[in-house]
Amino acid sequence: MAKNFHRGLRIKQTIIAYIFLAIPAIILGIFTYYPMILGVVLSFFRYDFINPMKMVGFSNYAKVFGNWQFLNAMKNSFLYLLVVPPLQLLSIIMAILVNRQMKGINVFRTLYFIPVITSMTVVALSWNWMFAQKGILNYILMGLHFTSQPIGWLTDPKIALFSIMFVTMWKGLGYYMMIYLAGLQSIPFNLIEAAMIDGAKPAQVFWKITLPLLKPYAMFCSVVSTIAALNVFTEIYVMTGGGPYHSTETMGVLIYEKAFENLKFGYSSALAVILSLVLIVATMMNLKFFKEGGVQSYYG
Amino acid sequence: MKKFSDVRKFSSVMILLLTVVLLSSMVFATTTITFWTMSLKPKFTNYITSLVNGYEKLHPDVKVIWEDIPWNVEQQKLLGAIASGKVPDVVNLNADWTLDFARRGALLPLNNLLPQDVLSDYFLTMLKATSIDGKYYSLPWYVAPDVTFYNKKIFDKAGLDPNQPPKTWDEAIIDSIIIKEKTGIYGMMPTILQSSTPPSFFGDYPLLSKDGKRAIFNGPEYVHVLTKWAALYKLGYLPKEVLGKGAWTKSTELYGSGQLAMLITGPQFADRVKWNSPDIYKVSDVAPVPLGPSKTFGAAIQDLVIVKGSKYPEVAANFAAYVTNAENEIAFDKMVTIFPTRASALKDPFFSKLDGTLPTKIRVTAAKELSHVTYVIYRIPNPHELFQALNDAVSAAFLGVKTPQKALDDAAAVWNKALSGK
Amino acid sequence: MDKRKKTNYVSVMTLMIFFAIITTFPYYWTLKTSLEVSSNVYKFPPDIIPNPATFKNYTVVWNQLGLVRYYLNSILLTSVGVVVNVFLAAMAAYPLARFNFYGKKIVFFLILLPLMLPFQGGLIVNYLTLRNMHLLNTYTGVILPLAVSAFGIFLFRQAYLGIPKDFEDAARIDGAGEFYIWLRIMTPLISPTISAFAILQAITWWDIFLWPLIVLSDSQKYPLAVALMYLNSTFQTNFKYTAAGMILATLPLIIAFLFMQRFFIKGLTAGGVKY
Repeated sequence: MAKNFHRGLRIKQTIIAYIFLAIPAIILGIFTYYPMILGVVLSFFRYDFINPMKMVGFSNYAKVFGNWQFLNAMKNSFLYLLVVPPLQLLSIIMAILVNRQMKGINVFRTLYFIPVITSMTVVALSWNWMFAQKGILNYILMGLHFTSQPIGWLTDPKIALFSIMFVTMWKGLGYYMMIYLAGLQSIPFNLIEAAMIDGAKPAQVFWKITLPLLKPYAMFCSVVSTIAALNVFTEIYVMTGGGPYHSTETMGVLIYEKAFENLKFGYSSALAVILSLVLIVATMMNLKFFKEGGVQSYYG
Repeated sequence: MKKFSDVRKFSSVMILLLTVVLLSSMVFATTTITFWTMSLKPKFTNYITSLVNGYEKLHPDVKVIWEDIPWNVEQQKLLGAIASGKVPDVVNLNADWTLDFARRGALLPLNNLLPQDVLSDYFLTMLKATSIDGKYYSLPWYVAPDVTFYNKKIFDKAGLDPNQPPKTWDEAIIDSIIIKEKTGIYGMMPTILQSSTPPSFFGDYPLLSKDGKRAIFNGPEYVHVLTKWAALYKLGYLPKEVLGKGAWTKSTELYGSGQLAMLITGPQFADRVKWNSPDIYKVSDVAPVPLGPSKTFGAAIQDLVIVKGSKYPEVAANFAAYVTNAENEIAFDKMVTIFPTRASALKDPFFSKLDGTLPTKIRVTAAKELSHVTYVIYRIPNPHELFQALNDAVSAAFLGVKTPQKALDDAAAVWNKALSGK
Repeated sequence: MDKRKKTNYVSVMTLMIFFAIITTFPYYWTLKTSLEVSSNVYKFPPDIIPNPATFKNYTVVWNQLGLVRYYLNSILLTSVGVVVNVFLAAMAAYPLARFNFYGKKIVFFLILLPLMLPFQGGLIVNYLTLRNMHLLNTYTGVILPLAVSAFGIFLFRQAYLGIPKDFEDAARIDGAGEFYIWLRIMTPLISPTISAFAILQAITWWDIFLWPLIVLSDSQKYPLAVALMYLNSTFQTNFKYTAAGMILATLPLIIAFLFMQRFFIKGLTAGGVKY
């Protein structure tokens, strides 16, 4: 009897649930899933938008192997992955700094968040000027005698990618800081109090209590920054266009170029499929790495 | 009774309405065409608007919708339009993009859309530049041959005679070295890497064998030239930005800040110096662009194309011919330093009479250069990718990643593979 | 003890000010560039303080571009975009949090999936879809593909999870329908989270650039970021004007955020943002 009741209730809830989900689901279906599927289909064709599509089987994928430009782009994307998401942990330090009752602390919080508010195009343009050979950055560094020659921030293929990584981080750290701040403030103070009464030093409190409780927030930030790192596009496109000599060309840039500059939409879709696979794997790895933790996981 | 008169009232109103609609559709039976320009707003809004109005006055049954597109997204927008089936009729492109779209079958040839006497007034070399198998795919609108715009004060400071600008590229190289050594300022920043034409210092040399089947730019003279310019870069006599994105506007920015001695570019950039950096403009002078052994050079052509799928190709062609007629070209060329694309327009003394002022001198100098300009068309598949390979070779040599010989060999291999029909 | 507290305070302040300088310096530099008289951006050594300073660049940009129109466009687009996103995300998140239904896990996964995919593929296909729906060159066409935010759904789901069951049970006993419960009772209870999400969405919509450029062909409809793009390509070699345009585009959002930041922080803290 009870089982029937529960099933009946479940069916009722299913119907209502799907009514709620209807409109968002339709929109997602048309504008997110349909392009996704079409993208995969397109990767088996050759298409330049003007002439009809031509089926080419797996040859778009085969072209990728041993292709220097592809391998270079993958290398650059992996570099981005290795540097930027881990460094997002620096925001924890910023969050700790602004997690205090101090007059005017909100000023600091806002200042750190302003890059997040600014559009990436504006950010990239500003940094473009600052990174110039005869720009303010070189002026300061040479004035302080840190270096005698102007540094080619965006013109030296060895460091251009890292200069752009800096811009990505500069713009993003405020966002992660806010999330970690929320995390810090969700830690019940009596936990910390109890630990300190027991004689724990601040460092111990940090490593043994704070960090573990921040784990779910760290997972979120890690997943988001991983996806962002692999998808990075605007700042690179505006600042260097992938140059010099493809040193800042990541997968995101390559996909765009192949589609809109070389008019190879089939090949570009194949690249996008490959990038998606990498993205899925990277996300899964993130989820596995950060096992659930934290105070509220009880109520998840 | 009332009901009947109501019906009569109603039907008479309807008949009146119908008549009005019919009449107006006859009067306003309009052909509507769409016209895209490339980054001409806001500076030339008034001029283009007057062109559109002028045409509409001459052809009351035609309505022209004008849209101005930022140049860096024009290709994508056009692609999107073609894919969607709703294309603009007349589009302003440059010669490179025109060839690109023409090769893919996206444009209509003008040979059948305009009478022969109209077509023959345009400079034949310019028509040929965007032609495939004798079919002309664009009407050239304006052209801007390069000039050398140089800062006399910097020349002075470096001990060079400000009235003797370099006449050849080798002289330009030597002057640049002297200027950098004596003043620390860069001598020149030519636009070396181009998207669908060869690197500037190869402009003099053919890239393909006479039968067009093999790439020959890895021969000894080419290696020699590349080595020379790579050495210039490595030794710091060329700004590092020369390999970067947006190099062609960077040079104008640097010149306008007094960071560059010679600006070798189209004269419309000299205008920008006048608008943005009047103090630099005051100490500048102009000379013909340095020439290589062949004494010819390429120039940028802006043109108008008719897109395939246009509903009214004849009207579109007619409008395009109107925009590029002698009178309108001259008017445009009087607003900014660009040049006409037809013989009858060039006859105007505006382009040959000096009056002692710098702007006029720039104009006359460039106009004289029009005879040195050639338009070499490369019949190669996938020009974007092939020129990218060549640019990569130049970058690799400049940066010392590969030796000039190896860099050119690798690029030649890519070209030969494509030319052999893979 | 006192001395250690003092050095602690000093080092903390130093670090905070150091970060603040790194964060704000580019804005100062852009602002300074926009106030300059002659094209001195590449002047070496560069001027730290513009001398003389002028507002002329702002008036030129304002007049030449007719910026009022674009501000209004952006305000309209942002308002509608935010409202639609909040509404749809709340609607989708609710059953995922409070109901037990068949296929729940699959739905959850399907919503997560698109987050992991690159965006370029969607551009062209969505453009063609909009064309078939005759929605090109409309704000509807701009907003519709971006109307459902997976991030928003997760955020709201988390927030809904935190509401004790008593509220909805009491409402059900009183005979209220599910939709009414959702709209009038449960959703107002997560308003801090809504504020936080709305603010993040507002930022996205104010800065949005590529998609409106592709969808809209009537330049009078362009939002601010696209107009700025025009500015950059037209005034390409004069960055004083570009800098002025950048300040004009960014300043309203910064000022708006200054007023909203209290709600924002409260919202993040209250709702909980983790998975």
